Amino acid sequence: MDVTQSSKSPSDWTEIDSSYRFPTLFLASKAVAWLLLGSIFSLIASIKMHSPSFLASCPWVTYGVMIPAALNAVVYGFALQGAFAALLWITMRLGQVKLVGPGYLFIGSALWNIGVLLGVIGIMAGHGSGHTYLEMPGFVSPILFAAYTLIGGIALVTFHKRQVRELYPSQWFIFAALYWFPWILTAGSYLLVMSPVRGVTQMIIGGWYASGLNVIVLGFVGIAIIQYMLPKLTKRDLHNGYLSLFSFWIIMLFGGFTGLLPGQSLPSWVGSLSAVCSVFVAFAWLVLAYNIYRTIGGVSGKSGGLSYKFIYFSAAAGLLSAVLTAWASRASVADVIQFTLFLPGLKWLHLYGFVGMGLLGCIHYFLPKITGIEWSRPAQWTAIFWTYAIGTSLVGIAFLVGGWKHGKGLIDPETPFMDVVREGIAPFVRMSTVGELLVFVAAALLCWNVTTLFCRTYCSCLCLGGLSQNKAGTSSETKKSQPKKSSKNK
Amino acid sequence: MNQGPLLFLSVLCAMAASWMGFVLMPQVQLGNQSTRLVKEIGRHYPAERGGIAVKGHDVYRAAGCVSCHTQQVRQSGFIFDIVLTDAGDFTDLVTSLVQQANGDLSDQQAADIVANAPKTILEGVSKQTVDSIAFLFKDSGGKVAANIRPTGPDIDRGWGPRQTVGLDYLFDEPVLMGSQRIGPDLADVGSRLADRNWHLLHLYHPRTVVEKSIMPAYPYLFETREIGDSPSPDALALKGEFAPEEGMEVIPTPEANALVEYLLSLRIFHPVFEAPYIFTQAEPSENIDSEMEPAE
Ligand code: HEC
Repeated sequence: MDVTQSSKSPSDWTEIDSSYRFPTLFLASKAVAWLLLGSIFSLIASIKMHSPSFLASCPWVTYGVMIPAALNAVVYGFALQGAFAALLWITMRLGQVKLVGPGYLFIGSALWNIGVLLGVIGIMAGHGSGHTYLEMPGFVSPILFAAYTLIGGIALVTFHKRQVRELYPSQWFIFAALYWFPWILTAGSYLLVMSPVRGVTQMIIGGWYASGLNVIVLGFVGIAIIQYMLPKLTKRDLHNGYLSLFSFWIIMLFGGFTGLLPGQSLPSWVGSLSAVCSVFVAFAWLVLAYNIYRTIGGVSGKSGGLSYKFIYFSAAAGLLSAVLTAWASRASVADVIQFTLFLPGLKWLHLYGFVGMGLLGCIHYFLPKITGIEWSRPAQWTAIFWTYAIGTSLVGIAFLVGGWKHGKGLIDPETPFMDVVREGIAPFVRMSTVGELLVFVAAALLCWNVTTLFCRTYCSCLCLGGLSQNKAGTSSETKKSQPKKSSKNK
Repeated sequence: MNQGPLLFLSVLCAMAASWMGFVLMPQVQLGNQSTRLVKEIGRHYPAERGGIAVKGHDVYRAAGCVSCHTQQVRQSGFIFDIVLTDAGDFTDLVTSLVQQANGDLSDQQAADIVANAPKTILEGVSKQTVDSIAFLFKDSGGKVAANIRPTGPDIDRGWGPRQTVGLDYLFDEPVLMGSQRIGPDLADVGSRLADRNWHLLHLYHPRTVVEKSIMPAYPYLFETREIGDSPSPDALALKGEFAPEEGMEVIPTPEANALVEYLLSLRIFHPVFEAPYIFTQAEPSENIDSEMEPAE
């Protein structure tokens, strides 16, 4: 249960970290590249809402493909790929074990990126399937699945070989996410894209997939990061493992069916069930938040540094999105916000606010540890944090508030539709464009920083006589930062 | 929970439960839905979409219209119109009962209704009122019936005569119900906007027909070409800032025509068991013979 203690000597840590150096750098740099691409796509989509003729003559960038292309780039390229990097690192750290088979991991991540690239190109070429989160054309799923088998397999084998047998709560969450993902990916893409079921069952299965992906797979990795990083950064112990266990079970049982708003064309139990599930998940999040609060209560934010800010923001956004999802599933609220901008608002809060922020915090924290090279421009990271945080909040607020106005207009038949557009949609979309621009700037800076780090690590390895000797190389490089590391972290 | 195998087992159980509850159950409940005979149209419903509208569905999917348009109509409840179907023999009694049912009617109006039955007595009342009026007319010789009318903001906006139900999507592949209403609902767009040219102009550039529209333009579904020997009959009638250069004309591609055909095929034009409403075939006078719920 203790992340702050360790029986390992600093040089063991260096060995563990360096086993993971290039695979992680690869995963992390590709992840931020996808974030950049996704933010460009959503920016284009957003601009199209102000001027219908913007880039109109090209079918590849029409609004209806930019939205799913952005979503898929961010979900599969950034969030899932970043999640792989983070969960592997946490698994190795908590298990005090070296990465098994870095070569396979490398092949797996290359394959994953090829899959996502083909998928996004497929969507842009007009082969999107039309099911949110599963828009990628059918032939991509097997590629993603094969890639995942390698990546997830390595994570599981590494987990299995851990030297510290006792499990820390973060490990449960990671383990469950690792098993959950291939399951929903195969079931979802088989039943929706490859051999589709008939009629509205498609919507129900689509909702199950979306919820499993967001709340369980990405959500669990996000929670694992929060529960691992916050105690570590504040040098405290997690307040109570049983509370974590409780949340773990609740979210695992009910998280697969949240957020499907009661649509009347679906059987009525679907709406009621998803409302109940959303409330359970929100409750589990409140318990989690209490646990975290008891863990880090009274710590001043400064002591944890910038990473602490990232993770703190992530936890707050995660809690807010779970609570808002539960609130939005109440029948009286759902009637208003159904079919409005509120839903993309929740999506932003969850994906960019909670998952994205957590991953960036992780990347900021562990890349220097793993490579033994500090960020060359720490000030840029402060800038990344603020632009990303402000941008994400701006988009989230614009969509959530706008969604409410949008919905109020829609349910009042006296308001002509164009008035709803003028007052409930257009101004908020304009506000969100500014936010998306900020996220784009943050992503560009991020890409630049991670890529530079990648190059510097690569060069320093070359200088030190090639990859074969990188073990020796790392320990000499990291000597300076070692004392700090061993006292502050494990 | 500190053991790997225990963890594995619990994840497996949760996964199985989630799968059974959320995937298997809906599939068992809805998976073998099939077409149904609807007496109002004397045909099985739904019918598979035919002709180029099938391709239009594909264009709709590829262009991602679903990111801004839903195809599902909501309904919050029903109201009823009460109709005197048969005045019976005791016209005086029935006339006074009609006046009792609707206090706003003058003697003359009430007598008109009774003389010209079937005629509507009251509009837009609740189920309770229907019951009490049915009770009123009991044993009077006059017969009343209640016509069902769905209500709700979507229906009041004219986006459809009734709510959509699962059956409506049986042959859609993929089902594009959508979750965003940046634009109006399209489940019944073929009924309210039946003009092919309007749709073509709207797709070419929405602002040609709707001022300040924020819907994107789809010029790539059209071909701008030089006018040949004589102007093509298919050319769009574009004016002002949207007009092509001198000597050029804008022709819809087969995709655009298919898409418009698909949009015109989006119609809700008869009741189904789950979502009844008054069905108007052609003449309004036929109202009464169709979907009615006898109040007695
Ligand atoms: C950016 C969001 C957006 C996208 C994408 C979009 N629309 Fe629209 N659509 C709108 C808005 C806003 C309106 C209302 C203003 C207007 O009529 O132009 C509208 C109106 C319509 C109407 C008229 C409905 C009515 O009742 O007046 C039709 C038909 C339509 N869209 C079809 C389409 C088709 C077909 C596509 C895909 C090729 C599409 N739309 C893509 C936003 C969008």
